[in-house]
Amino acid sequence: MKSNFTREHRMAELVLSNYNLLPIINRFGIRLGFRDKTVEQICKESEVNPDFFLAIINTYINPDFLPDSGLVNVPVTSIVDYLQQTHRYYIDYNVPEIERLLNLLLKSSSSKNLQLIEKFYLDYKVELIEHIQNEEVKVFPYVLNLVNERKRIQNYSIHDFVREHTDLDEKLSDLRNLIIKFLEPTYDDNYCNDFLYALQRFEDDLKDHARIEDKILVPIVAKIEEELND
Amino acid sequence: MISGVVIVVHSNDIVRKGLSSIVRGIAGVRVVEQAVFGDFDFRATDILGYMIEPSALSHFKKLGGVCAKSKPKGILICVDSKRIDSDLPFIETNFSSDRIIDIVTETFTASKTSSENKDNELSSREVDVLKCVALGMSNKEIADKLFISIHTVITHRKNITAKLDIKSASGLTIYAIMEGYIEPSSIDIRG
Repeated sequence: MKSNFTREHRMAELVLSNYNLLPIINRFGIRLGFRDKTVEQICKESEVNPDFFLAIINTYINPDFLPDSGLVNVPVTSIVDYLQQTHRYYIDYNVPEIERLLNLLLKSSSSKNLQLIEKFYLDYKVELIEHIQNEEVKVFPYVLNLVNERKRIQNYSIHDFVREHTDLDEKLSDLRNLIIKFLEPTYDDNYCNDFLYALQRFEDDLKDHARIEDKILVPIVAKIEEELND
Repeated sequence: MISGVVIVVHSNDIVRKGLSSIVRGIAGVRVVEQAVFGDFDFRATDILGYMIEPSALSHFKKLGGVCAKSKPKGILICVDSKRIDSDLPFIETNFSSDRIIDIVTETFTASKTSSENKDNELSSREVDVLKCVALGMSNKEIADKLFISIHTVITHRKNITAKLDIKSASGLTIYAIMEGYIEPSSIDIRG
Protein backbone atom coordinates (compact mmCIF):
# COMPACT_ATOMS: atom_id res chain seq x y z
CA MET A 1 0.00 0.00 0.00
CA LYS A 2 1.35 3.40 -0.96
CA SER A 3 1.49 6.02 1.75
CA ASN A 4 -1.23 8.59 1.57
CA PHE A 5 -1.07 12.37 1.44
CA THR A 6 -1.99 14.23 4.62
CA ARG A 7 -2.86 17.80 5.56
CA GLU A 8 0.77 18.50 6.40
CA HIS A 9 2.15 17.70 2.94
CA ARG A 10 3.09 20.62 0.78
CA MET A 11 0.66 21.10 -2.09
CA ALA A 12 3.56 21.48 -4.54
CA GLU A 13 4.89 18.01 -3.61
CA LEU A 14 1.49 16.51 -4.21
CA VAL A 15 1.30 17.89 -7.74
CA LEU A 16 4.93 17.07 -8.51
CA SER A 17 4.28 13.47 -7.51
CA ASN A 18 1.65 13.00 -10.20
CA TYR A 19 0.62 15.44 -12.94
CA ASN A 20 -2.65 13.58 -13.45
CA LEU A 21 -3.78 15.28 -10.24
CA LEU A 22 -3.83 18.66 -11.99
CA PRO A 23 -7.35 18.45 -13.42
CA ILE A 24 -8.50 17.05 -10.09
CA ILE A 25 -7.25 19.96 -8.01
CA ASN A 26 -8.76 22.29 -10.62
CA ARG A 27 -12.16 20.77 -9.88
CA PHE A 28 -11.81 22.10 -6.36
CA GLY A 29 -11.04 25.57 -7.70
CA ILE A 30 -7.42 25.19 -6.59
CA ARG A 31 -4.80 26.65 -8.91
CA LEU A 32 -1.03 26.70 -9.14
CA GLY A 33 1.35 29.12 -7.37
CA PHE A 34 1.47 27.22 -4.06
CA ARG A 35 4.87 28.40 -2.77
CA ASP A 36 5.51 26.30 0.32
CA LYS A 37 1.95 26.14 1.57
CA THR A 38 0.56 22.89 2.92
CA VAL A 39 -2.52 21.06 1.75
CA GLU A 40 -4.35 22.35 4.81
CA GLN A 41 -3.43 26.00 4.17
CA ILE A 42 -4.37 25.86 0.50
CA CYS A 43 -7.66 24.13 1.28
CA LYS A 44 -8.48 26.79 3.86
CA GLU A 45 -7.77 29.58 1.38
CA SER A 46 -9.91 27.92 -1.26
CA GLU A 47 -12.68 27.05 1.21
CA VAL A 48 -12.35 23.34 0.51
CA ASN A 49 -12.91 20.64 3.14
CA PRO A 50 -9.39 19.17 3.52
CA ASP A 51 -10.63 15.70 4.51
CA PHE A 52 -12.73 15.46 1.39
CA PHE A 53 -9.94 16.86 -0.77
CA LEU A 54 -7.48 14.29 0.59
CA ALA A 55 -9.99 11.47 0.21
CA ILE A 56 -10.37 12.31 -3.47
CA ILE A 57 -6.64 12.74 -4.05
CA ASN A 58 -5.72 9.55 -2.23
CA THR A 59 -8.40 7.50 -3.99
CA TYR A 60 -6.99 8.69 -7.28
CA ILE A 61 -3.39 7.82 -6.45
CA ASN A 62 -4.18 4.56 -4.72
CA PRO A 63 -7.26 2.67 -5.91
CA ASP A 64 -7.23 0.54 -2.77
CA PHE A 65 -7.50 3.59 -0.56
CA LEU A 66 -10.76 3.72 1.31
CA PRO A 67 -11.39 6.79 3.41
CA ASP A 68 -11.96 6.07 7.09
CA SER A 69 -15.11 7.06 8.89
CA GLY A 70 -13.94 10.68 8.89
CA LEU A 71 -15.50 11.06 5.49
CA VAL A 72 -18.99 10.66 6.87
CA ASN A 73 -18.62 14.25 8.06
CA VAL A 74 -18.14 15.50 4.52
CA PRO A 75 -21.34 17.09 3.28
CA VAL A 76 -22.97 14.96 0.59
CA THR A 77 -23.46 18.18 -1.37
CA SER A 78 -19.65 18.52 -1.68
CA ILE A 79 -19.38 15.03 -3.14
CA VAL A 80 -22.16 15.70 -5.62
CA ASP A 81 -20.59 19.03 -6.50
CA TYR A 82 -17.26 17.33 -7.18
CA LEU A 83 -18.89 14.65 -9.34
CA GLN A 84 -20.72 17.34 -11.32
CA GLN A 85 -17.45 19.22 -11.86
CA THR A 86 -16.00 15.97 -13.16
CA HIS A 87 -18.88 15.55 -15.60
CA ARG A 88 -18.35 19.09 -16.83
CA TYR A 89 -14.67 18.34 -17.37
CA TYR A 90 -15.55 15.25 -19.43
CA ILE A 91 -18.09 17.08 -21.57
CA ASP A 92 -16.20 20.37 -21.96
CA TYR A 93 -12.69 19.03 -22.27
CA ASN A 94 -12.09 15.25 -22.44
CA VAL A 95 -14.66 14.28 -25.04
CA PRO A 96 -13.93 17.20 -27.44
CA GLU A 97 -10.18 16.67 -26.98
CA ILE A 98 -10.36 12.93 -27.70
CA GLU A 99 -12.47 13.72 -30.73
CA ARG A 100 -10.03 16.36 -31.96
CA LEU A 101 -7.16 13.88 -31.70
CA LEU A 102 -9.22 11.14 -33.35
CA ASN A 103 -10.01 13.48 -36.26
CA LEU A 104 -6.32 14.28 -36.72
CA LEU A 105 -5.57 10.58 -36.71
CA LEU A 106 -8.36 9.89 -39.22
CA LYS A 107 -7.08 12.58 -41.57
CA SER A 108 -3.60 11.09 -41.46
CA SER A 109 -4.79 7.65 -42.53
CA SER A 110 -6.81 5.90 -45.17
CA SER A 111 -7.45 2.91 -42.93
CA LYS A 112 -10.94 1.48 -43.24
CA ASN A 113 -10.54 -0.07 -39.82
CA LEU A 114 -9.96 3.36 -38.39
CA GLN A 115 -13.28 4.53 -39.77
CA LEU A 116 -14.96 1.64 -38.00
CA ILE A 117 -13.14 2.57 -34.84
CA GLU A 118 -14.50 6.10 -35.19
CA LYS A 119 -18.03 4.70 -35.39
CA PHE A 120 -17.36 2.67 -32.28
CA TYR A 121 -16.13 5.76 -30.49
CA LEU A 122 -19.12 7.85 -31.56
CA ASP A 123 -21.49 5.15 -30.27
CA TYR A 124 -19.55 5.09 -27.06
CA LYS A 125 -19.84 8.84 -26.75
CA VAL A 126 -23.63 8.67 -27.04
CA GLU A 127 -23.70 6.09 -24.29
CA LEU A 128 -21.35 8.08 -22.08
CA ILE A 129 -23.45 11.22 -22.42
CA GLU A 130 -26.62 9.26 -21.64
CA HIS A 131 -24.95 7.89 -18.54
CA ILE A 132 -23.88 11.35 -17.41
CA GLN A 133 -27.33 12.77 -18.06
CA ASN A 134 -28.95 9.99 -16.07
CA GLU A 135 -26.81 10.96 -13.12
CA GLU A 136 -27.36 14.69 -13.54
CA VAL A 137 -31.11 14.45 -14.05
CA LYS A 138 -32.03 11.53 -11.80
CA VAL A 139 -29.30 10.41 -9.40
CA PHE A 140 -27.98 13.74 -8.11
CA PRO A 141 -31.39 15.42 -7.66
CA TYR A 142 -32.57 12.33 -5.76
CA VAL A 143 -29.52 12.47 -3.49
CA LEU A 144 -29.75 16.22 -2.88
CA ASN A 145 -33.47 16.00 -2.18
CA LEU A 146 -32.88 13.19 0.29
CA VAL A 147 -30.23 15.18 2.12
CA ASN A 148 -32.10 18.49 2.12
CA GLU A 149 -35.59 17.22 2.97
CA ARG A 150 -34.47 14.35 5.19
CA LYS A 151 -37.33 12.36 3.73
CA ARG A 152 -37.43 9.33 1.47
CA ILE A 153 -39.38 9.44 -1.75
CA GLN A 154 -41.73 6.48 -1.74
CA ASN A 155 -39.67 3.34 -1.85
CA TYR A 156 -36.87 4.49 -4.08
CA SER A 157 -33.32 3.88 -3.02
CA ILE A 158 -29.97 5.00 -4.40
CA HIS A 159 -29.49 1.50 -5.80
CA ASP A 160 -32.45 2.03 -8.12
CA PHE A 161 -30.75 5.00 -9.74
CA VAL A 162 -27.12 4.21 -9.99
CA ARG A 163 -26.28 2.33 -13.13
CA GLU A 164 -23.36 0.04 -13.50
CA HIS A 165 -20.17 1.56 -14.80
CA THR A 166 -18.88 -1.79 -16.06
CA ASP A 167 -20.23 -1.28 -19.55
CA LEU A 168 -18.51 2.08 -20.00
CA ASP A 169 -15.22 0.67 -18.76
CA GLU A 170 -15.47 -2.37 -21.00
CA LYS A 171 -16.06 -0.36 -24.14
CA LEU A 172 -13.08 1.90 -23.50
CA SER A 173 -10.87 -1.12 -23.06
CA ASP A 174 -12.36 -2.64 -26.25
CA LEU A 175 -11.56 0.59 -28.08
CA ARG A 176 -7.97 0.45 -26.91
CA ASN A 177 -7.61 -3.22 -27.88
CA LEU A 178 -9.18 -2.72 -31.31
CA ILE A 179 -6.69 0.03 -32.08
CA ILE A 180 -3.61 -1.68 -30.72
CA LYS A 181 -4.38 -5.05 -32.26
CA PHE A 182 -6.15 -4.28 -35.52
CA LEU A 183 -5.14 -0.87 -36.81
CA GLU A 184 -3.74 -0.97 -40.36
CA PRO A 185 -0.31 0.62 -40.39
CA THR A 186 -1.16 3.64 -42.50
CA TYR A 187 -1.41 6.33 -39.90
CA ASP A 188 0.61 9.11 -38.33
CA ASP A 189 2.53 7.80 -35.34
CA ASN A 190 2.37 10.96 -33.29
CA TYR A 191 -1.34 11.52 -33.80
CA CYS A 192 -2.05 7.93 -32.90
CA ASN A 193 0.09 8.10 -29.76
CA ASP A 194 -1.53 11.36 -28.65
CA PHE A 195 -4.93 9.77 -29.14
CA LEU A 196 -4.01 6.69 -27.09
CA TYR A 197 -2.48 8.82 -24.31
CA ALA A 198 -5.64 10.92 -24.12
CA LEU A 199 -7.76 7.78 -24.09
CA GLN A 200 -5.69 6.29 -21.29
CA ARG A 201 -5.95 9.44 -19.15
CA PHE A 202 -9.69 9.52 -19.70
CA GLU A 203 -10.03 5.85 -18.83
CA ASP A 204 -8.12 6.37 -15.57
CA ASP A 205 -10.18 9.41 -14.66
CA LEU A 206 -13.41 7.63 -15.46
CA LYS A 207 -12.45 4.65 -13.30
CA ASP A 208 -11.65 7.00 -10.45
CA HIS A 209 -14.98 8.76 -10.94
CA ALA A 210 -16.78 5.41 -10.77
CA ARG A 211 -14.91 4.45 -7.60
CA ILE A 212 -15.90 7.71 -5.91
CA GLU A 213 -19.53 7.08 -6.77
CA ASP A 214 -19.58 3.42 -5.88
CA LYS A 215 -17.35 3.46 -2.82
CA ILE A 216 -18.00 6.90 -1.33
CA LEU A 217 -21.29 8.41 -2.50
CA VAL A 218 -23.47 5.31 -2.65
CA PRO A 219 -22.54 3.96 0.83
CA ILE A 220 -23.09 7.36 2.46
CA VAL A 221 -26.46 7.82 0.77
CA ALA A 222 -27.49 4.24 1.61
CA LYS A 223 -26.65 4.97 5.24
CA ILE A 224 -28.80 8.11 5.24
CA GLU A 225 -31.66 6.11 3.72
CA GLU A 226 -31.31 3.56 6.47
CA GLU A 227 -31.38 6.23 9.18
CA LEU A 228 -34.51 7.75 7.66
CA ASN A 229 -36.21 4.37 7.79
CA ASP A 230 -35.92 4.17 11.57
CA MET B 1 7.31 -17.15 -24.24
CA ILE B 2 4.37 -16.46 -21.99
CA SER B 3 1.94 -13.58 -21.84
CA GLY B 4 -0.96 -12.71 -19.61
CA VAL B 5 -1.84 -11.87 -16.05
CA VAL B 6 -0.33 -13.56 -13.01
CA ILE B 7 -2.24 -13.07 -9.78
CA VAL B 8 -0.01 -12.99 -6.73
CA VAL B 9 -1.86 -13.64 -3.47
CA HIS B 10 0.14 -13.29 -0.28
CA SER B 11 -0.70 -11.64 3.02
CA ASN B 12 2.91 -10.75 3.75
CA ASP B 13 3.61 -7.41 2.07
CA ILE B 14 7.33 -7.97 1.67
CA VAL B 15 6.90 -11.42 0.13
CA ARG B 16 4.05 -10.34 -2.12
CA LYS B 17 5.70 -7.18 -3.36
CA GLY B 18 9.07 -8.88 -3.82
CA LEU B 19 7.56 -11.76 -5.73
CA SER B 20 5.43 -9.42 -7.85
CA SER B 21 8.42 -7.30 -8.69
CA ILE B 22 10.38 -10.36 -9.84
CA VAL B 23 7.51 -11.75 -11.91
CA ARG B 24 6.86 -8.32 -13.47
CA GLY B 25 10.36 -8.57 -14.90
CA ILE B 26 9.23 -11.36 -17.22
CA ALA B 27 8.39 -9.83 -20.61
CA GLY B 28 4.70 -10.13 -21.47
CA VAL B 29 3.56 -10.70 -17.91
CA ARG B 30 1.33 -8.35 -15.98
CA VAL B 31 0.86 -8.83 -12.27
CA VAL B 32 -2.16 -8.30 -10.06
CA GLU B 33 -1.35 -8.25 -6.35
CA GLN B 34 -3.77 -9.37 -3.70
CA ALA B 35 -3.20 -9.45 0.04
CA VAL B 36 -6.22 -11.73 0.43
CA PHE B 37 -7.58 -14.06 -2.21
CA GLY B 38 -10.62 -12.78 -4.03
CA ASP B 39 -11.96 -9.48 -5.22
CA PHE B 40 -10.41 -9.84 -8.65
CA ASP B 41 -12.42 -9.16 -11.76
CA PHE B 42 -12.75 -12.67 -13.13
CA ARG B 43 -14.01 -11.41 -16.44
CA ALA B 44 -10.41 -10.55 -17.09
CA THR B 45 -9.58 -13.01 -19.72
CA ASP B 46 -5.92 -13.65 -20.02
CA ILE B 47 -5.13 -15.06 -16.60
CA LEU B 48 -1.99 -17.18 -16.81
CA GLY B 49 -2.25 -18.46 -13.30
CA TYR B 50 -2.02 -17.79 -9.62
CA MET B 51 0.81 -17.68 -7.14
CA ILE B 52 -0.70 -18.14 -3.73
CA GLU B 53 0.40 -18.74 -0.18
CA PRO B 54 -0.46 -22.15 1.28
CA SER B 55 -3.03 -20.76 3.71
CA ALA B 56 -5.04 -19.33 0.79
CA LEU B 57 -5.14 -22.70 -0.96
CA SER B 58 -8.33 -24.02 0.61
CA HIS B 59 -10.10 -20.74 -0.09
CA PHE B 60 -8.83 -20.90 -3.65
CA LYS B 61 -10.28 -24.39 -4.08
CA LYS B 62 -13.62 -23.32 -2.64
CA LEU B 63 -13.80 -20.68 -5.33
CA GLY B 64 -12.99 -23.34 -7.91
CA GLY B 65 -16.09 -22.57 -9.94
CA VAL B 66 -15.13 -18.94 -10.31
CA CYS B 67 -11.59 -19.81 -11.20
CA ALA B 68 -12.62 -22.44 -13.73
CA LYS B 69 -14.45 -19.78 -15.71
CA SER B 70 -11.32 -17.78 -16.14
CA LYS B 71 -9.40 -20.93 -17.08
CA PRO B 72 -6.09 -20.24 -15.37
CA LYS B 73 -3.35 -22.12 -17.14
CA GLY B 74 -1.46 -23.08 -14.03
CA ILE B 75 -1.21 -22.60 -10.33
CA LEU B 76 1.95 -21.95 -8.42
CA ILE B 77 2.18 -22.13 -4.71
CA CYS B 78 4.44 -19.82 -2.88
CA VAL B 79 5.84 -21.24 0.32
CA ASP B 80 7.47 -19.18 3.02
CA SER B 81 10.25 -21.46 4.14
CA LYS B 82 9.89 -25.06 3.13
CA ARG B 83 7.88 -27.20 0.81
CA ILE B 84 4.41 -28.22 1.89
CA ASP B 85 2.68 -31.46 1.06
CA SER B 86 1.21 -30.73 -2.31
CA ASP B 87 1.84 -31.80 -5.86
CA LEU B 88 1.59 -28.22 -7.09
CA PRO B 89 4.71 -26.38 -8.22
CA PHE B 90 6.25 -24.38 -5.45
CA ILE B 91 8.59 -21.54 -4.69
CA GLU B 92 10.54 -20.93 -1.51
CA THR B 93 11.31 -17.45 -0.34
CA ASN B 94 15.03 -18.11 -0.35
CA PHE B 95 15.05 -18.95 -4.07
CA SER B 96 17.01 -16.61 -6.33
CA SER B 97 15.16 -14.32 -8.76
CA ASP B 98 16.46 -16.29 -11.72
CA ARG B 99 15.19 -19.55 -10.29
CA ILE B 100 11.78 -18.05 -9.59
CA ILE B 101 11.56 -16.69 -13.15
CA ASP B 102 12.50 -20.12 -14.52
CA ILE B 103 9.84 -21.89 -12.46
CA VAL B 104 7.13 -19.38 -13.32
CA THR B 105 7.95 -19.42 -17.04
CA GLU B 106 8.16 -23.19 -17.16
CA THR B 107 4.92 -23.79 -15.24
CA PHE B 108 2.83 -21.39 -17.23
CA THR B 109 4.33 -22.38 -20.58
CA ALA B 110 3.91 -26.10 -19.99
CA SER B 111 0.28 -25.80 -19.02
CA LYS B 112 -0.36 -23.55 -21.95
CA THR B 113 0.65 -26.09 -24.57
CA SER B 114 -1.61 -28.65 -22.97
CA SER B 115 -4.65 -26.44 -23.48
CA GLU B 116 -6.83 -27.10 -26.49
CA ASN B 117 -5.87 -24.17 -28.61
CA LYS B 118 -2.32 -22.95 -28.80
CA ASP B 119 -3.09 -19.57 -30.29
CA ASN B 120 -6.05 -17.28 -30.15
CA GLU B 121 -7.59 -18.32 -33.43
CA LEU B 122 -11.36 -18.70 -33.32
CA SER B 123 -12.83 -22.12 -34.09
CA SER B 124 -15.30 -22.29 -36.97
CA ARG B 125 -18.19 -22.63 -34.49
CA GLU B 126 -16.97 -19.57 -32.63
CA VAL B 127 -16.88 -17.67 -35.90
CA ASP B 128 -20.54 -18.67 -36.50
CA VAL B 129 -21.47 -17.33 -33.09
CA LEU B 130 -19.39 -14.19 -33.59
CA LYS B 131 -21.21 -13.46 -36.86
CA CYS B 132 -24.57 -13.74 -35.11
CA VAL B 133 -23.46 -11.52 -32.24
CA ALA B 134 -22.18 -8.97 -34.74
CA LEU B 135 -25.57 -8.98 -36.47
CA GLY B 136 -27.15 -8.05 -33.16
CA MET B 137 -28.83 -11.38 -32.40
CA SER B 138 -29.74 -12.34 -28.84
CA ASN B 139 -28.37 -15.50 -27.22
CA LYS B 140 -31.76 -17.14 -27.68
CA GLU B 141 -31.86 -16.26 -31.38
CA ILE B 142 -28.33 -17.52 -31.87
CA ALA B 143 -29.17 -20.80 -30.09
CA ASP B 144 -32.21 -21.32 -32.34
CA LYS B 145 -30.35 -20.50 -35.51
CA LEU B 146 -27.35 -22.73 -34.83
CA PHE B 147 -29.35 -25.53 -33.15
CA ILE B 148 -27.37 -25.36 -29.94
CA SER B 149 -28.37 -24.62 -26.35
CA ILE B 150 -28.25 -21.12 -24.88
CA HIS B 151 -25.69 -22.45 -22.45
CA THR B 152 -23.43 -23.43 -25.34
CA VAL B 153 -23.89 -20.01 -26.93
CA ILE B 154 -22.78 -18.38 -23.67
CA THR B 155 -19.74 -20.64 -23.48
CA HIS B 156 -18.76 -19.79 -27.05
CA ARG B 157 -19.17 -16.08 -26.33
CA LYS B 158 -16.96 -16.34 -23.27
CA ASN B 159 -14.27 -18.09 -25.28
CA ILE B 160 -14.50 -15.53 -28.07
CA THR B 161 -14.06 -12.72 -25.58
CA ALA B 162 -11.18 -14.54 -23.93
CA LYS B 163 -9.39 -15.02 -27.24
CA LEU B 164 -9.94 -11.54 -28.65
CA ASP B 165 -9.92 -9.49 -25.47
CA ILE B 166 -13.03 -7.70 -26.72
CA LYS B 167 -15.98 -7.73 -24.35
CA SER B 168 -18.80 -5.59 -25.71
CA ALA B 169 -21.17 -6.69 -28.48
CA SER B 170 -20.45 -3.52 -30.43
CA GLY B 171 -16.71 -4.12 -30.12
CA LEU B 172 -17.22 -7.64 -31.48
CA THR B 173 -19.23 -6.21 -34.36
CA ILE B 174 -16.39 -3.89 -35.31
CA TYR B 175 -13.96 -6.80 -35.10
CA ALA B 176 -16.19 -9.00 -37.29
CA ILE B 177 -16.31 -6.32 -39.99
CA MET B 178 -12.57 -5.64 -39.82
CA GLU B 179 -11.81 -9.31 -40.28
CA GLY B 180 -14.34 -9.64 -43.10
CA TYR B 181 -16.64 -12.06 -41.29
CA ILE B 182 -19.61 -9.86 -42.07
CA GLU B 183 -20.33 -7.13 -44.58
CA PRO B 184 -20.49 -3.59 -43.23
CA SER B 185 -23.77 -3.14 -45.11
CA SER B 186 -25.42 -6.06 -43.33
CA ILE B 187 -25.57 -4.27 -40.04
CA ASP B 188 -26.89 -0.99 -38.84
CA ILE B 189 -24.03 0.72 -37.08
CA ARG B 190 -25.51 3.45 -35.01
CA GLY B 191 -24.19 6.98 -35.31
